Amino acid sequence: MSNLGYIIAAYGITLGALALYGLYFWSRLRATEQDLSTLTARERTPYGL
Amino acid sequence: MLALLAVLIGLYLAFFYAPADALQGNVQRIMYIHVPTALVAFFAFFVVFVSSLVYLWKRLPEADRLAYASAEIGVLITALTLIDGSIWGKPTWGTWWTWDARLTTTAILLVIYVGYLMLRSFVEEPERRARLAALVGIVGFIDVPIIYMSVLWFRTLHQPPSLQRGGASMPESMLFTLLFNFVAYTLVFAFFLVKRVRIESLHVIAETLVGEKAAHE
Repeated sequence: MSNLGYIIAAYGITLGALALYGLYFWSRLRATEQDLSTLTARERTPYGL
Repeated sequence: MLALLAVLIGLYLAFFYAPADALQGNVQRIMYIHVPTALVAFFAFFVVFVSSLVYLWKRLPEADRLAYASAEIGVLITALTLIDGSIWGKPTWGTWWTWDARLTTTAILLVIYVGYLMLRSFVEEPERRARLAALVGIVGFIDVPIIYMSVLWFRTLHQPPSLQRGGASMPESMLFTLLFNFVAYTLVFAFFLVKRVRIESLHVIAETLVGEKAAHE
């Protein structure tokens, strides 16, 4: 591997992993917020309706 | 957004502002991602250490959540530090890995905090889980100063600390780029930490709501 290859690999893996973690985070946060809004919506709905 | 902008500026500085190293050439530019990620990983475990102490002292669930969030991000960043360090090691030392003091103690740090995360997933009772995790979070941090001092205490392939008291052994442009990237990755860490703590807090609210609903029924 050339020096450029090592540089690209180091930066690519590190930044790529951080970006993937960010995306995973974002989807987890969205899912949790959605679960919570479903739960609170159920709380607000009167029983029997 | 600020963190992303800082990382982009950091990349520009690393590739176009900082000069190539006289001995290693361009491959030394890996330092601008390797050293900041290593320092941010240490900072993440310092947050775990302080939050764990606060938890044991005050029994604040918020401190436990902060420790958990910081440990998770710290594990990711430590793993990335080992990977980019290994990639840097191949062209400069001629090997991907060696059982050198700095590398070994860093690998041990990763194992300790992976253990911390595993412990959290094994213990179900929240108060006991938080207490045991806090103990591991505090004891595990002992490895951080050992890692830092390992290059001075032992004969090692790894270079001495890039930043130390009495000044850095590099030109100002390199030092500025290194420090800027450290700030950039600290901002990335702070962004992840805030979001991760929010996820945990929302989980707790959701669990409380589910519990209350079950109690009503």
